[in-house]
Amino acid sequence: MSEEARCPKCHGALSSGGLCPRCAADFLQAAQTEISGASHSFSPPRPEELARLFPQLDIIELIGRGGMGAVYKARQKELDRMAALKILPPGIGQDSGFAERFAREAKALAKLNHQGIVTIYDFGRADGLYFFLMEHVDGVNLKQLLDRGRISPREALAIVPQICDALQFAHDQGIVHRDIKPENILLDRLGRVKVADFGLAKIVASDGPSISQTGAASPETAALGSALTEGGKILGTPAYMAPEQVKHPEAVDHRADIYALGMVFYQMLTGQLPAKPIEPPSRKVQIDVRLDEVVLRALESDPERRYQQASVFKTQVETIASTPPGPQPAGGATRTISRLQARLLGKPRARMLGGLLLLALLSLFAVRFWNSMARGRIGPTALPASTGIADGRVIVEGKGWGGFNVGATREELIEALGQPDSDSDNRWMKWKQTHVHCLVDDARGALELRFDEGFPGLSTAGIGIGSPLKDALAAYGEPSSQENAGGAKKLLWDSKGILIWFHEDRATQIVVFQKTEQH
Amino acid sequence: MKYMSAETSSNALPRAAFPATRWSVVLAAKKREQPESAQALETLCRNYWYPLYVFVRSSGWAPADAEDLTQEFFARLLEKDYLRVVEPQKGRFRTFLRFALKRFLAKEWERIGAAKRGSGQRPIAFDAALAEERFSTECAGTLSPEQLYDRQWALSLLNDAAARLALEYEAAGKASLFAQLRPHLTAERGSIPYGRIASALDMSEGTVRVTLHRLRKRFREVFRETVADTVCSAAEAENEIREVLAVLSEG
Repeated sequence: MSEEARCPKCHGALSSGGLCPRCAADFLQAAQTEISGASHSFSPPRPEELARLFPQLDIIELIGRGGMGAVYKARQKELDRMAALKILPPGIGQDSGFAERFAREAKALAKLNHQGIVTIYDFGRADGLYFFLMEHVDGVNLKQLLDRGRISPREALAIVPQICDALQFAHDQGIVHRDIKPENILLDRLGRVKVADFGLAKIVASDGPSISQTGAASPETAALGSALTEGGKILGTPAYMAPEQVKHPEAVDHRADIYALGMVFYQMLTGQLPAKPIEPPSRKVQIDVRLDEVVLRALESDPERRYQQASVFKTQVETIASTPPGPQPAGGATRTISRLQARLLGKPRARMLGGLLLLALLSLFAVRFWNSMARGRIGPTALPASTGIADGRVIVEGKGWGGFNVGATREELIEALGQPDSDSDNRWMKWKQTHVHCLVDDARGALELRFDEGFPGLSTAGIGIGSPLKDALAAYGEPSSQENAGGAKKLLWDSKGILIWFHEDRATQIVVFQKTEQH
Repeated sequence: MKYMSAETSSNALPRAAFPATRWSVVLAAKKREQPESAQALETLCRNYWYPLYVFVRSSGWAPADAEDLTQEFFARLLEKDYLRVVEPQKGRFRTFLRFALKRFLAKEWERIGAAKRGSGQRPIAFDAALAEERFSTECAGTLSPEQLYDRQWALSLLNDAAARLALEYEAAGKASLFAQLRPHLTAERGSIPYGRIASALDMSEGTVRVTLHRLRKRFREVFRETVADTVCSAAEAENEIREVLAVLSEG
């Protein structure tokens, strides 16, 4: 094989077998989605081709594809609002009753108005193509986060309750998601969860000959009730599917979503899907053993033995996040949060603040618990609750979204980052925040740093074995450094607008702030 | 392909039968010597020796030592010493081997002692010169031994899958057809010049579409089978496929 062999498409080096790894991965990845998503595989139309069908939209780009359709980023011209256009595979809807069922289900889904659920703006059929126009979520999906590296348990504990909220809301309306998986869990830039594709699996599954239609009841109650069940087809993603969904897809209820969320939770905690028999997560990674019970309960094969409501699942997770492991009865912190929430959520203006505070408090409690565990002792530490946002991510006590603990106080944040933005007293939107994972290789005692995102002048992953942070950043010149009473260290490259905060006791957590513009 | 009977553990979920793969055959037979298991293990070792060589080399051993060490490791592995000791890493052949090799490099090698090094055991035939050439061109850079190992492992899986597919087409007497279509194996659908391929092969465009579609579909299946051969359950297969694809897509 010639050393110069390059891929004609992406110009990457070919493998010794003559294949381009990156393109092969793309190809196999798409196949993976097609296989697991549905039997309908298709090549999505180009944005130009769609433009003709949707004159009211600027179709910007294809942002996702899978067995159940393709998603495009679009702009609603009149409203000047970003939206996501989802089209179902063109082959779908051949059978005569489909149009009616589609409209009925879509109407029910469009009524799902919840902050944790992707809102449906419109739906219909354009030149034979079924589509949904939806809220565009500027962020990433959970699969992308998982693929980049494991999500910290703290982040998992902040994400799962939000998914529970969304599910409980939908379940209360009688709507089952049926295809909860990391790809369908979106996170916006504030770390807020938005669940996508509610009920889509049912709509797509209903296409085909094996349909038993019920004409009874009003359209809404029919769509919402369990009477309307389409027999025969299994639709969903096998790895996340509850056993009863595999066996009797027509008899699925909301508890299948709870099972799938259990799978997602397991994956967030351990980085992997459970093998059989299921090994408790705490045996694979160092986490609170109480989480084992929660995860295993959600993953009970008998739906009767699972959590019966997503809200109960949520309470369990929050209780663990907010109380230190130990014999004392749990629930105090949760009650505090609930009271706070009840007080704040009364007024619309306070709603956002309430949510933010809730998230912040949750993160704080999670962090406390985590620190205690990391130090091998139990009990809350005396951290004052102050919050802030940089780059759209919540900082608690200098911890980033999800609770990165760098041990800086708010005063120190202000000193380092400058005064908060003028429209608020706790936002520093001019600073971009990057998380760095610092891995200690036990065999060599060496450090390896990985950046979540690109960092100027440094490679995005593995910037070197044996390079402590300072060495790796030598290219930036000598920083000014400072250590606070709590042992948190600050390295500042003032001329570069780069600030790094870390705590030697918490070597796996480093936060890098980077100034995005002068202020 | 044979299917194993479903698990009978009390909390076992109803699940699709997972085919008996090479790795599951090796594990199932760990307690006693069985020729079927020894053969399966040997086949696996033959397919995946290079990532191990890369791991040893990038851990700092000189080429000659690396060759000896890799062979010695295989010798011990085939004697089944290692299969008895490492429990949690066994779900996947890749992680099991990496763990066992790391352990071997850290401890066993010292114990064996210099006198016995390079005892001449060569359980797996591999071309050390070629390995070294590949190592020097492919493995430059700042990746850790673990990352290099995972990367080479992923590439081995990909190459193995392509080779298996080539063999299938060869066996069906379609070797030259495969050679002609191979450049388009993983191409983006929109970018495939069906017309050009059709005239080159003197086939109708429709036939080319169908043939290539089948080839690509089969490649996906073969890739899944190839990965499945190195794990022992369907869930591990999903995990492994996801991780391998993530490594490959890093380019």
